[in-house]
Amino acid sequence: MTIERELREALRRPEAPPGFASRVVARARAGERGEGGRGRGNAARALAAGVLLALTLGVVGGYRWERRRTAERAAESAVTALRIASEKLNLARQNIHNHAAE
Amino acid sequence: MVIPSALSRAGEGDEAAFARLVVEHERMVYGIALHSLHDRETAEELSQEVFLQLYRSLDAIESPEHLVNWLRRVTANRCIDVARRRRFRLVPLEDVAVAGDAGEWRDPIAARTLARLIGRLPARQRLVIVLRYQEELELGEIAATLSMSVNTVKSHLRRGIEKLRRWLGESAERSDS
Repeated sequence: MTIERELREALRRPEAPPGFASRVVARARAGERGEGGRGRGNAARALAAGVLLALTLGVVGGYRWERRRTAERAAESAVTALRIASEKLNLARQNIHNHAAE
Repeated sequence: MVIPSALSRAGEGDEAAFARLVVEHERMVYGIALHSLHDRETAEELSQEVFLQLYRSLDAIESPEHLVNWLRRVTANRCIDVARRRRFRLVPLEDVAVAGDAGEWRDPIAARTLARLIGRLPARQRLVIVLRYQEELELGEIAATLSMSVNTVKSHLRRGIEKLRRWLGESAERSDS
């Protein structure tokens, strides 16, 4: 018998120990409960993605709200400035009118 | 042969389909581990860890062929890791792995002797020989599994067989004297 043939015989696949697959599945199931596992891991990833999306939308929304508030304040300031200018213009026009009447 | 739907069902969390994958491949994984480590307890623990890693990685497995290659590669790498962590210790003859019934062997004592001698080889030489003669892989497939060149595989194989021939000769001389 050649050594190659002896090696093939000596290295034939052995039977796995009895109950091997059951023990693997039990450990996988225990890991699923203990470590989050595939199902709960997916749920956790979905939750994390949801939180991230909410944070992103919140930041973007806050930024837009802040920009709108700034624009509104600028518009209010502009209106106030125009009103003051208008009042001063009216006052000046009134003074001129009074001076001409005298 | 595993049908693709079993793999996809396992990937979707079907426990029975995953169990079927384990049963389908347990002899291959356990055989590589046992023939490489020569310790039933460590081989079973390592094999279980390989399948648990598979359970966590099912989404990345694309086909039954990919699954087989993945299992061989992960098992081989884990065997190398174990071998690095501990120097190989000789085991009692009765604890040496021999597949099948002793009655199937032309010379069961010779088979046990050869299995024990394989255990004396360096880890990578041992794995090359296990993948070549247990798994019947071609040199290129062994190279891909162990991430080494084909020439390195050839070298490990040649040196490993030379050592085994020499040791078998020495063993026979001791028996005769």
